Amino acid sequence: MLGQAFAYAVAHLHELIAATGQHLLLATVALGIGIVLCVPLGVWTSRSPVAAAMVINAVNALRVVPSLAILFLALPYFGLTFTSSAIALTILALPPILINTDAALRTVNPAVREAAFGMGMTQWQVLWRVEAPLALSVVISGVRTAAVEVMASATLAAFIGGGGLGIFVTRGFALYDTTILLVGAVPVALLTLVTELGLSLLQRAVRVPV
Amino acid sequence: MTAIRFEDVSKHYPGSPRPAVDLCSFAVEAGNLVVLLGPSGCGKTTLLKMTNRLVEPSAGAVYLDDTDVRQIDVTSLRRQTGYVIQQVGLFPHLTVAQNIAVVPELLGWPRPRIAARVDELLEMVHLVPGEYRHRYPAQLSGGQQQRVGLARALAGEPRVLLMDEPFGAIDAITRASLQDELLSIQRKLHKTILFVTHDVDEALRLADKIVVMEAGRVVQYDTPFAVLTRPANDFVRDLVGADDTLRQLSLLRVEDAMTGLPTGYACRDEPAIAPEADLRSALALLLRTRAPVLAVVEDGRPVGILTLEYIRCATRGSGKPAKSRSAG
Repeated sequence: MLGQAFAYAVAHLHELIAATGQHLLLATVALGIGIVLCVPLGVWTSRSPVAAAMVINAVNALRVVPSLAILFLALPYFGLTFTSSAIALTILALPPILINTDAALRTVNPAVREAAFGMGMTQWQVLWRVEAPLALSVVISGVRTAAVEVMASATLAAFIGGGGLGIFVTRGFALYDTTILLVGAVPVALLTLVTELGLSLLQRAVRVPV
Repeated sequence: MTAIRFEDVSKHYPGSPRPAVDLCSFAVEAGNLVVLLGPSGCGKTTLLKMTNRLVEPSAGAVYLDDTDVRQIDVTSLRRQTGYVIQQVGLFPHLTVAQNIAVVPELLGWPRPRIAARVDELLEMVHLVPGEYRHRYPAQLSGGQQQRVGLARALAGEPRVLLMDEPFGAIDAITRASLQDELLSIQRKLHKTILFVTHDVDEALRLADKIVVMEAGRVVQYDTPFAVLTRPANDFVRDLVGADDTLRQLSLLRVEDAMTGLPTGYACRDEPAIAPEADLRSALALLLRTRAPVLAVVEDGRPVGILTLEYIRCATRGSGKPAKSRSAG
């Protein structure tokens, strides 16, 4: 069966490459927006209990809505498009990044922070020189969780015409042909694994010696 | 010269019935090591943190070399005041050398000067630079971490050094050796040091002068000898254990009690003792050898004598016996 799938993939190589590009673009956009939005938000919530209660609960509430439901909820506003899919995936990416950033900064040893201020660092210097490097590994771990979820879930985009490797899955589904389904599923699995591995290595590289 | 001066300093925290610091006034001479001593909650740490403005007073003012600290830019003030805390607070993501270099870098020193300073300080705190420069804090013992903490605080050549129970979390043996090292560093550098502790022995051992605090107030500001022998009130008496004669003896030094060599006095075979030895050992020596007099010997030369009478007078805080004054 894998052989047949490979033959199909070779026959539809251009389509496969385009779909992979689309898949990666979807995931990257969602993850990018997630990072740009949630890292600063996490810095804010870690400093303000009120902000933490509001923002983290709001993001967690979003998380319980299934991705597929979000896809369909976005449809009336953005249509059967890339944008709808990107929004749904972004919402998926938010919670792990936000929660990890918040937690990472909260767990910075208060004595280290006091020493930093006591030595005459400004707020910004404390954030950039001390808190950021200490929090980085945990933040990246949140990004990793988000990236894996987004990479796998980007498959769903095909259901609403968002493209990506999911098109082979939906096609296989429609034609009841497992071979075609595998042409989508196997690359998604591989991409997800590579993402997981790559970010794990990055996380290890920036880990603070203990 | 006065290096740090507290003038009617108070600190009220909202919702607290009594002030954490209540009208404290005292001055620290340049080059002195002054210990703020008192039970927890007496306001000693609050007072210390007002010096580098980690806490701002509700009333009164703190002066650094006669400048109100509120007139100094807060980051610049803190870069001129070394700060050592009990939990050390080394930056775990930076090496020992990078930790020590933080303030010099903030001050914009050129690289070669920073590198030289790091090595100089590591040697001063007895950590071999070649071995420790590139280690991370997690690879050091608690005592070594605090040595680095001390080196880091001294790195920017601060005008004063603030130490908040720096040896509080360190085992007794290491603590004693760190205290010795602080004293020997202090003999070289003559920094103005404010040192917070609740450990009476530590205070008596390190201080040029002690500020005894109770419930936010300064109850006595005096030399260790005077605090021990002439406590200002019952609180100080209980705190320093002034009634415990044996304890006093172990904290007072021979040089506090001895008298100079009387004119024409020739040392024969009296038992010898060093001026920096404690009176407890002196008393033990007197009892053991049954000699009436001890010769105080420094660098192989007799510099004074000590008898039971002098020891008795030192513990009572009444100074030297009358006859030595007339003889002197």
